[in-house]
Amino acid sequence: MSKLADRFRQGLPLTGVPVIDIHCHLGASSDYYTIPRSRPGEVVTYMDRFGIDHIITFSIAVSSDAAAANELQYAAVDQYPDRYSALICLHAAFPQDWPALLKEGHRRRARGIKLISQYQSVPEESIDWSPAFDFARDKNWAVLHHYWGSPERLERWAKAYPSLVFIEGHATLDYKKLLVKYPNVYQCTCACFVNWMCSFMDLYKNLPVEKILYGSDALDLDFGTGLGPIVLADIPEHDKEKILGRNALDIARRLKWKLGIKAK
Amino acid sequence: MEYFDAFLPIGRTNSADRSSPTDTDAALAVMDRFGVSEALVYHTVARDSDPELGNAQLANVKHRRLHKIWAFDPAYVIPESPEKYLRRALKENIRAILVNPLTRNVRLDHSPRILELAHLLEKRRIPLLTVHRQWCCAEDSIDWYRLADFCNRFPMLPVVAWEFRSRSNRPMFDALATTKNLFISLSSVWQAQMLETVCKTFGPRLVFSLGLPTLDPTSFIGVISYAPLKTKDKLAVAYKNMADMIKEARHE
Repeated sequence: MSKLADRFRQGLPLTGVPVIDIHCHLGASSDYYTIPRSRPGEVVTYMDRFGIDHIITFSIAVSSDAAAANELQYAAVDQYPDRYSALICLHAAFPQDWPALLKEGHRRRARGIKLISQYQSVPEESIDWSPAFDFARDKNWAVLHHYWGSPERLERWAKAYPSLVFIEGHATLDYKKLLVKYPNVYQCTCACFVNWMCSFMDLYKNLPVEKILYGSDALDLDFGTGLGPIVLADIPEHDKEKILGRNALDIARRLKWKLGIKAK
Repeated sequence: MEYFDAFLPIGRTNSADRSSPTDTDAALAVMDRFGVSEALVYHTVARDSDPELGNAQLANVKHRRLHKIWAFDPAYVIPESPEKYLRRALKENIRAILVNPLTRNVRLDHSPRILELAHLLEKRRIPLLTVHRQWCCAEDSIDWYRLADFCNRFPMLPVVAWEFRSRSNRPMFDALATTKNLFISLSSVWQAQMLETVCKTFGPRLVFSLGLPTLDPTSFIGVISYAPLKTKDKLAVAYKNMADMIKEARHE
């Protein structure tokens, strides 16, 4: 019997394991929807119900002006530094804005960068991210992308910037070889419950378990849809714990992040 | 928590989860694994392409936990009247009827055969499931304003809507606000905290589904178990809404 599964079925906060959600969005609205109960304090209440200790968050308004939406994330971190970490969202179409956005993010204690060119009408393969990564290389940052494009492209970044942690933001096996080869490449479980993504069990069976990170896409998606495939999976409890938070804690230690997570 | 899956498929379809059932035993096994005590079952062929061929595949499905759904073809040239079709369905112990307006571009509010069927179903309070599925498109397939108009034309007809993903919540809220008989599958509504938002604003107007064939069946159990709602409301969504609709329908 899995204790985590048992608590999940009963709607009790997950205990005995740090739970770190590596892929979240904060914001009250996007063109798709309005987002009720999205203020930082309300989201903390929502996290507490599930026993989620900390979330890595970025803008939900990714197709518009990055500065305004980034500010929302920094304000949440100011209010709840032990519960939120922010990533700086860059708009792929406006590299001229990146230096100011990166400087501001650094000043506001951001933990890295969020990329999502696929929602910004810019072909990924046409973008040179190196100015942003040059800025980031000595900052102990992570970079999470909606989709990195070809494995060759991600390999180029992983090799050129070994101090950065590169995270593929949505469930896929496209980067399997890179996860094995490079200590700084990770895979998020985000949206693995959907049929056109890689399923959680396929991630688990094919990738090194130490490289899999839990991510939900909340507040786009419900925390429950992200946790269910992991917590209810027929896999050893210690592997669930690694994916839910221990692997993310290892990254935090490596990057000297103080997440303020208390022992549960 | 007891669950009633309002949309459990039997049969193969594009991109199905590997746990999606193909026969009665597999349907019961997946239900047992996730604590689902009863389900409305349809055949994927009936939903996706050929209602009569798919309906016939359910002939041997006989189990007290499985309530059969038939799909209805709105094609005007079909000789059998909706009345005769319904009589035939009831003889086969069918508990609800499914229409897929996306095969192709059928309008619920303008199709003569659907309107005639809806009138007959309304008289008996038999649920109509509008399953907006097209193999080549995904989210936001429902025209919520038209669906609301349709629901209001048949105010005593229980209508349960499904689509792959109802991402645009503004028109969905408008449809809930302007109807009383519209229910939505929880498995269509993936956005954070939508269960509690809908329940607190409109009442528990959702029904549970594991999300098969296209979603991992572990996905929506936690959405219900962790929702900050009274047990009564959680139970309504998880089980009671659909069970009551079936119980209150006059199938005899």
